[in-house]
Amino acid sequence: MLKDITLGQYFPIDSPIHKIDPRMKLITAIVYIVSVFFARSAVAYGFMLLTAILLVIVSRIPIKTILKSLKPLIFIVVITGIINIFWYQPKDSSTLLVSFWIINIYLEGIISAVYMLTRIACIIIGTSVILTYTTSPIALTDGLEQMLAPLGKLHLPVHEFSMMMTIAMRFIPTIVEETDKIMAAQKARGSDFSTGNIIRRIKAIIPILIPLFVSSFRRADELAIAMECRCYRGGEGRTKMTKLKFKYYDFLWLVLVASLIAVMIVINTYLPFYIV
Amino acid sequence: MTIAEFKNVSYVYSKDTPFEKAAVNDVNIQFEQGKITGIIGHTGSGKSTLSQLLNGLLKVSSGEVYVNDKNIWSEPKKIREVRFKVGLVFQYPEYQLFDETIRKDISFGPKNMGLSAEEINERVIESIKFVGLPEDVLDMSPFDISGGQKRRAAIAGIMAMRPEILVLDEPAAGLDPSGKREIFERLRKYKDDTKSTLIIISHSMEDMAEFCDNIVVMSDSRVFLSGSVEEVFSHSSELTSVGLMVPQATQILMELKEMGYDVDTGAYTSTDAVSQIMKLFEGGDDHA
Amino acid sequence: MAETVIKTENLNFQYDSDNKTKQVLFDISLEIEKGSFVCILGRNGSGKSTLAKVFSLVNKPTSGTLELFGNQFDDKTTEDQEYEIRKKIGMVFQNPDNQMVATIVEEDVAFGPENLGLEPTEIRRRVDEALDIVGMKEFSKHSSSQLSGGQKQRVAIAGIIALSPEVIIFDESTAMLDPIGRREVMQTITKLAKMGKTIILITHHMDEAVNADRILILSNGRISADGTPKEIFSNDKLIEETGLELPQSKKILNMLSEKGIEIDTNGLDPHNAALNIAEALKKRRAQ
Repeated sequence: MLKDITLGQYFPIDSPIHKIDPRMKLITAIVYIVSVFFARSAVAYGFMLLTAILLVIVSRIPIKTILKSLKPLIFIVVITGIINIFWYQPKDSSTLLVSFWIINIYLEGIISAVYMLTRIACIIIGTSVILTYTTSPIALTDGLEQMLAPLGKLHLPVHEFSMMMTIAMRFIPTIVEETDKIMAAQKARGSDFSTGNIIRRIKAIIPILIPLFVSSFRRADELAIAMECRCYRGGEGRTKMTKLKFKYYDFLWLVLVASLIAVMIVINTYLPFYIV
Repeated sequence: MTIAEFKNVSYVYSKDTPFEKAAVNDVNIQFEQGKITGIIGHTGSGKSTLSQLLNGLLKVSSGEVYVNDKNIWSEPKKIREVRFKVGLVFQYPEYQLFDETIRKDISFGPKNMGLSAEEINERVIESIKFVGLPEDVLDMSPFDISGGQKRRAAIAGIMAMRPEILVLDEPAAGLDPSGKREIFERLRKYKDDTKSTLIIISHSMEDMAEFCDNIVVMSDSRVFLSGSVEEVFSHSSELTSVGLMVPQATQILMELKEMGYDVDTGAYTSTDAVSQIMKLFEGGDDHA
Repeated sequence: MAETVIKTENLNFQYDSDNKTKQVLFDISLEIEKGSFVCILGRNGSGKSTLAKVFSLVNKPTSGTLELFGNQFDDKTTEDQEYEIRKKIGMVFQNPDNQMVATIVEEDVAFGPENLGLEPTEIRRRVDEALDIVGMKEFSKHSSSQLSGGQKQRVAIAGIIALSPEVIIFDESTAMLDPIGRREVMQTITKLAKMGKTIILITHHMDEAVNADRILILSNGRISADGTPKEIFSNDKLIEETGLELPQSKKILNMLSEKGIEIDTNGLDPHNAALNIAEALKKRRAQ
């Protein structure tokens, strides 16, 4: 069912990570990704994996949910792993483990594949825990709008952009639900979306798309009138009920995440095991 | 004679997710051939899910659905045929019109059945007569006719499949009183002419009391009450206990009863209520 | 006499599209008093919603005069003046889904006051107050998709209350709701009427009209009746002609009266009807 796709997969619970300012989350998500790329030695990778696990624990997102979100990526992960193993360019110091026909597998190849996988896992877990699972889409757009606000002075349509995002976010569930309904209604008239060749299947979509477009235009029309009646005149002179304010723990959080980069450098230098 | 039956039917939404919820729970209903059955309940009581289970749009989680004594899921590949047998008109069906002309739109169902052009044409003409649309709208675009006409065209689109059972979800939603009366009258005539079976889903007790032969009351995913209109409305106090509004006629009688008058609160139409009240005026001395 | 908030004289309105024009309103002359509760009835397509949209300046009259809060509204009215009037007239529409802008309840309610450019603390105060009035305070952090139709519609009403308008127009705001949702919304509307807001309610449900001070019936774009619910519903012929119906309670009282029972037929809801019947029974027995 289409309804099962949850946008952003926001998990509305209470945790220290949920409390962080969305702007800071955006920044720290980027910092976290950067720090993952700093890792070079086995200890550094191990440490990053540990931080990812810590993040999950602190955020109180069920482990099951995280694993589920990784599931669709298994295919990509396997392919990357294989490519890394087989396409490893050996150096003089490389240790050959297996060799038959044109295939040579080196220990370093396997290690670099493991590193690659760890990196992907860390990035996915880290960003989803810092951002998508713990930040409501609305908080995210709010954060984006206020971060981009200075650009408004350059006459960039920041307000329009964020209003668009807000409305899109608000209407996605409504339109998904409507698509479900229209599909069911056309199926009740014998529409068949699952058999036949490509052309037949595309043709079967038309009875869904047209009513969906028509109703979306109608909704847009009604919404525009409703907004006008609620005194909307664009961004000028508009105020906001809640203005985001950084708190001390937002900065604490930034320092914490940013220090990961330093930790990586230190580990790479003093514990340089298995750098490939 | 029973034309369709639910046997211990349950349906679970979003199975195996944190949002898992039973929409229909162990439901047993028999639908009589040639009768009008009303399904009443609050939003979320499972009444709309029942309609989609009946024509195979949703697959039962457990239990069986029978149409003409045949389990509809005995041959899953032939489920489309069930949808032609059990025609389903959704709520606000006018929003599903899509083709260039009303004629083409009404033909959509019959075309999917693989009928010949003549047969389709015959059915289109027949069905617009049932819903009371003039022939000249046939070549108009669905976007150029009034809301009420669109509603009728959408209903005609299902009638043109000549289903044995016609299920309608709130067919009168948003219509004015005269429009509502007309649609119900036309549906009744359609049922009599085609000898088919009607199932109406609604939350209006007053409409259902006047229009239906049998009533199924859904509450909290289960069948709360079912039977003939008389039987169901004789339980008026139970109906109000689950928050369903009984017709005003019944409410008046319930109030009178509370004041100590001896009346039968099972009456649900104006005429029945009046004859109940007249008994009080004629009888006289039994007032407590 | 109370202040007049809306006044029209020989007002006409037509839609112009492509090459067709369609006149929807003809010769509308009316006055609506401050603090009154007016219900507009009529068939689908009789022009009810069009008239409501004229009051809220969405539709501009084609001819005739329109006076809002004592200000004449015409071609010379500037956009700023229009905006000032708009602040005083709120409108709640039929489909609750198509009037909510933000996903989170309180953020949606804040949309209007934010447009007015109010101070954040004042916006907060108004949002809390508005949600309190409609009884949705505990849902302030919920997202709209978790709400029932009636709850969504109450949030939409809160969004209007937060603008603190003098007049609130309900354009078939109960049409898409189930009986429970309808009851919730009607209770809110009655509450607002008691708070002294001017209410204009457009509906198909006769039982909702019963609570109004005054009923206007539109048919084919003209006002065909104007009176109190008692007056309107005792005119059977008018009800018949305009495609409406009597509340069942009233119908039953009329039927009893036709059978020769001496009874006060002015009971528009079950409770009053039952009282009238009991009264008549007492009289009969006393004889």
